[in-house]
Amino acid sequence: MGHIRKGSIKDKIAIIGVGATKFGEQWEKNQHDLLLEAVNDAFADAGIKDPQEEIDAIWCGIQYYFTGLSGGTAADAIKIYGKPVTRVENYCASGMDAFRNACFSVASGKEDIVLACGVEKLMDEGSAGLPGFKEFGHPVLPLPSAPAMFCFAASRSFAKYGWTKEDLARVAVKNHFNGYHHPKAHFRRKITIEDVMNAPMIADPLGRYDCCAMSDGSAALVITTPEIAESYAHAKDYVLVKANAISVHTNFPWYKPSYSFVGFPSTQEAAKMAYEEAGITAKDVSFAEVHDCFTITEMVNYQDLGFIPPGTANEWLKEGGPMIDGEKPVNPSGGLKCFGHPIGATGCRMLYECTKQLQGRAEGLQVKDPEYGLAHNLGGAFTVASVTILGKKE
Amino acid sequence: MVGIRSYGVYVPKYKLPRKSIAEAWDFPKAPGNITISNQDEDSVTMAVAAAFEALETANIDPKEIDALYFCTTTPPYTEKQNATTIASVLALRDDCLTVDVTDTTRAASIALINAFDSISAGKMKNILIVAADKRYAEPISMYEYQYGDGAAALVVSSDDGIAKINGYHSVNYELVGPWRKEGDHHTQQFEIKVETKYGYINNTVKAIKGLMEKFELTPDMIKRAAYYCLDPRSYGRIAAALKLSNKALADNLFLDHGNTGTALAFQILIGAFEQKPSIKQDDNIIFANYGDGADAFYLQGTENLRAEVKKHTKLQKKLAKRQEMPKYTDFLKYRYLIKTKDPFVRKSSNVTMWRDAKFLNQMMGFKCNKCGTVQYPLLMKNCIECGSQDITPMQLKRTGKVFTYSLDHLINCEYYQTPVPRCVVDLDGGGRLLLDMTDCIPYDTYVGMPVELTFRKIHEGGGFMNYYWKCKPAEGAVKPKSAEKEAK
Repeated sequence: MGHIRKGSIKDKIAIIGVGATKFGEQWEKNQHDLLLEAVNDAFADAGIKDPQEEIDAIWCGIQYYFTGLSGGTAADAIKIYGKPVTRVENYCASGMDAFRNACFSVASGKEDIVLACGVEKLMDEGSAGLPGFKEFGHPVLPLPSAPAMFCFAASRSFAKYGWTKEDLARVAVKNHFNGYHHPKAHFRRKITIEDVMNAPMIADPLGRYDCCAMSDGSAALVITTPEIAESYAHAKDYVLVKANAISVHTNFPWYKPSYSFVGFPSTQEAAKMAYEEAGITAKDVSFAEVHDCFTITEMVNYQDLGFIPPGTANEWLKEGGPMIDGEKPVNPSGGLKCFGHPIGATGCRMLYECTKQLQGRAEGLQVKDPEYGLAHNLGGAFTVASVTILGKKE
Repeated sequence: MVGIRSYGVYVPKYKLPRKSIAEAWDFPKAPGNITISNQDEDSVTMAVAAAFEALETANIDPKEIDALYFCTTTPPYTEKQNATTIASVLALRDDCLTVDVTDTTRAASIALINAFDSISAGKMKNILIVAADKRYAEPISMYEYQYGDGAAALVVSSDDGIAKINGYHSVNYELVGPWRKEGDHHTQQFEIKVETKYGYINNTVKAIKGLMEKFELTPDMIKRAAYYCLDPRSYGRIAAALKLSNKALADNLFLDHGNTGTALAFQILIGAFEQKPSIKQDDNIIFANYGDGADAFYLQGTENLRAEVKKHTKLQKKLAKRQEMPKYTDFLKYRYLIKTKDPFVRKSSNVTMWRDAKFLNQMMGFKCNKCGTVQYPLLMKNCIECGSQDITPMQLKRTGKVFTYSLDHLINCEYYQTPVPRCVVDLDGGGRLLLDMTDCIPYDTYVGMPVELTFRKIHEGGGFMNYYWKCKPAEGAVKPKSAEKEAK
């Protein structure tokens, strides 16, 4: 990592409108319905009147082939034809990578106003857990379920740091408390440590409340340059992109003898790149929407993102650090835990939340006077991590 | 000179008490157990396990083997040779003759006759014979009491080894005893009394008598007799007809183990090698097998027998270590006698399976010549740690320790016989990989647990057999109370 990147998109991109559907079991809607609903919400927020005229390009995060292939899915849903439209797939970071590509198009000067969005229609597959494992990958090399993969981190952290299932439970209880207040969350119910401890097992020690749910949903962001932003609805309070980084490690960490399983190198690298680009440190982050696909993931994230030293996530939770009124609120929306995880949509949904928090118009619990918001995705076998840092105008 | 150089016996992990069959179908109670293989096992995987024991216990280089005979009535493939799969996993030479001998429980001894003749003729030096069966008795019939699963292997070679083979006598006989037609799922039997009298007893006696006449052996000269057992009573009748002393009779394994088909005669013979009082040098042994006729062999102990036997985990000990299958419904599920969706099936490609055979079948990994990391698999031909393409292929070991694990309740997104321990295993001598654990109590898995690799059937995706490795608890792996903390 000796090479020093000179380029940066810091302060070059303004988020001028955000939108999202309610997340959850959207039985009566298809992917086109969800995408259009989120995009309409974002256009209304931005004050986009004539999308075909004003929107120059679209990037749409979609993970699964059954949700949609190619740019056609977004073009059809929104009915913007003849423009550059690209489907982005990068595991759970698909949505945030769509946003990243959209940022670059504006920063390069090629396009003026572009749309970053994401959608996933998981519920139609009717599977318990993420679908599709039978259809891809090597014929016989083992492929654990997603919870089982992240469980490798739990078993290892339990052995190394002495964490317990109750430590994990605190993450679920915190996020459910936050999600209870958010009108767009899938689950809006407060839970107790006992609820988590007594729930059926999915991949020991991860029980039902340690895992995020299968959900449908979509989210969208309209972005442009700060100059153009001045003539749109959020001229006074648009949000600036301070940094955006993505880091890809192996699809097969279980073949890598040096892999510790108590920290994810992809997150660590993405965080390092993002802090450098933003010119801040982890201390400066006011709040974060982090990838809590499983409770253990959130605990590991605290450490990988540099919020706290390795091995101390259990103590930090006990002290209330990541609580809504704590030193650094984590997942004020309720996180994936309460929103569920329609893969392609999640990254955009986090940026939607961060934007609203920074503008002081959070629909759920509002973080007090935030300056910097951080969004983080982690996907695959801890393969892909993306970190975006947003800040207020000026 | 021809002799048995080494042997191996594979006893699957589970036993089903006959009383649970009785309870399920309201049959008259019967004592004892039958040995049952796991659902990821078939005759090929069991044969691999027995063959590894035969080769490794006696320190035989697989490259020494000139021919491999795979003997079974339950070959996973009926077109496409099964022996080649075994040869690939054992990494035998590519000019090793591979043969499937099938259709009768006598297949094992037919192979032994062929091996004897090839070696006697000076054409070959070392021949590996593996016999395995996983037969299905007719459901809701008393034959369910009989059939057990298992495998046994013999390495026959051009020196005396542990027992000399002096010769044989073979007879064939036409009688529709147990049969399975093309496409039949389970073995059928008609009138057992006719088969017992005219098939089993008549032919076994005829073959052994013929052998004894040929070699001028009298009953008092026989120190041990080991032959196929259809049922314990008839087993005794054969000894009586031949005037063999009861003391000479090998344990017929029927009560606690069942009839393992093609593997049974070898297993009884190996039991006889291990049985007390020990066979001494030059002690005469009669070995016979039955099925559409019978084959009898004249063997003699050698001075090496006791020392070789000591290197093995004894058959009786393996039987003692089995775990009881508590419910008859588990047996039905393991045998797919209850038809359910098979959740293990994945899309497959015989192109991928063929291309990857080196690391899928033989556990070939590589060592990075730049950073020294030993790794698996050869899926990518550059180092996962430093990216160097300067690598040397390397045979990895089949033992290791659990680095981390999870107990997965979702198999292909469905709940089915769960949880499955998914284990990240650090192999002894280097290399790390992900393996499912089998033949285990999932909740006894722990970080640091010693495991050994076992070749199993994974699924039949693509319509063909997809085999790969799993891990299972190593001998003596016991979860210590402080396991989680000690492991670090």
